[in-house]
Amino acid sequence: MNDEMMTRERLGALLDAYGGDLSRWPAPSRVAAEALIARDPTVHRLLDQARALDTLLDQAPAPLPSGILRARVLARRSPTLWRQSLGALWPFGPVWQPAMAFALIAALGIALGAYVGGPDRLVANKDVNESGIAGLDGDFDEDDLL
Amino acid sequence: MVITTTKALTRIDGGAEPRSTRRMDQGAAADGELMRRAAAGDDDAMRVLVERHVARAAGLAYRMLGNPTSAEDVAQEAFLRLWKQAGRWRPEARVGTWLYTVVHNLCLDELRRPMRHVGELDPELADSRETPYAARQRSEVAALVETELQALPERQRAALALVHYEQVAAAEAAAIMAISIEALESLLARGRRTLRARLAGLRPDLMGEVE
Repeated sequence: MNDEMMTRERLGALLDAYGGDLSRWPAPSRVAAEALIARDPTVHRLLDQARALDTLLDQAPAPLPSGILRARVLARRSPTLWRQSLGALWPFGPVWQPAMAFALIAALGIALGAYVGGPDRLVANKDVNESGIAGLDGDFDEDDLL
Repeated sequence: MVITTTKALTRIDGGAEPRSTRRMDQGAAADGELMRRAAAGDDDAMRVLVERHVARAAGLAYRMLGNPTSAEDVAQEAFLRLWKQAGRWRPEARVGTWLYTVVHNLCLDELRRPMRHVGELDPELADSRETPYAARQRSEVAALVETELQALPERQRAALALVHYEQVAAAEAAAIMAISIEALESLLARGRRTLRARLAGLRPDLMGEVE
């Protein structure tokens, strides 16, 4: 709003809304209001009324926050950051899902390993396989395909 | 509860710049850096953020709820949500505006609860709040003003809390409340007119018509 558009009515509406401290006003309206106040003394009463209410309101400040609030806010930060670190590793959803999948795969691997057996049994299986392959090599007869 | 996204909060028109907003602007870049450090687990950065913003967050909550213990619960919840955002924080976002928005929305939720349990709070915290001695120190004028503020409709009270007490710029306050500037001015004017009428006994010069 420019200077020409600032009327007494508009000034009154802005004083009603933002009060008599022009630093709280939107900047464009502030400049225009200052110009109107400077040239029209009849609006000073409106300004004084608004400032009187401001003074009353300022006599009821909000209580300062307690030290306990600060402590509570800071005490609750660590778990969040831990979860954030996990979240950075797995940004696609809850971290428990890949963790559970990994644990399940690990458990299956261990169970399968225990069921199949240790290295000796693996060597024995290898011998069987190699002899089987040797047998194929030695005994294979193309006539068998006929 | 719907929390406005950080992206939306950064689309605020900076047309109006009251004093506190200028202070917030000057601190905005520093806040972005502090949030980056907070996301990396820097305790000092988090302490600075708390010191910088906790009084404003608790102050707005107090104005909206009228109860210091409930206000601190809301402020705490707002900060916990801020920590959760730290890893995704965009440097250009304003911590102060983000907190005000979350506090405002949390307070609306609290005010609209069917039964507000103001008394079911941490007794240690409750004891730390206003003592009988401190209560006696509050002036009669302050008590009357506070009573009349709390009697206002919640949206008028929120608008006054943001613009008058927290000195938030009009455009920013309107964005926090998710309303237009015209609607904000209407809420402010209605709230101030009501207060002026109800408090006229304290200051006769509040009333009167311009020639």
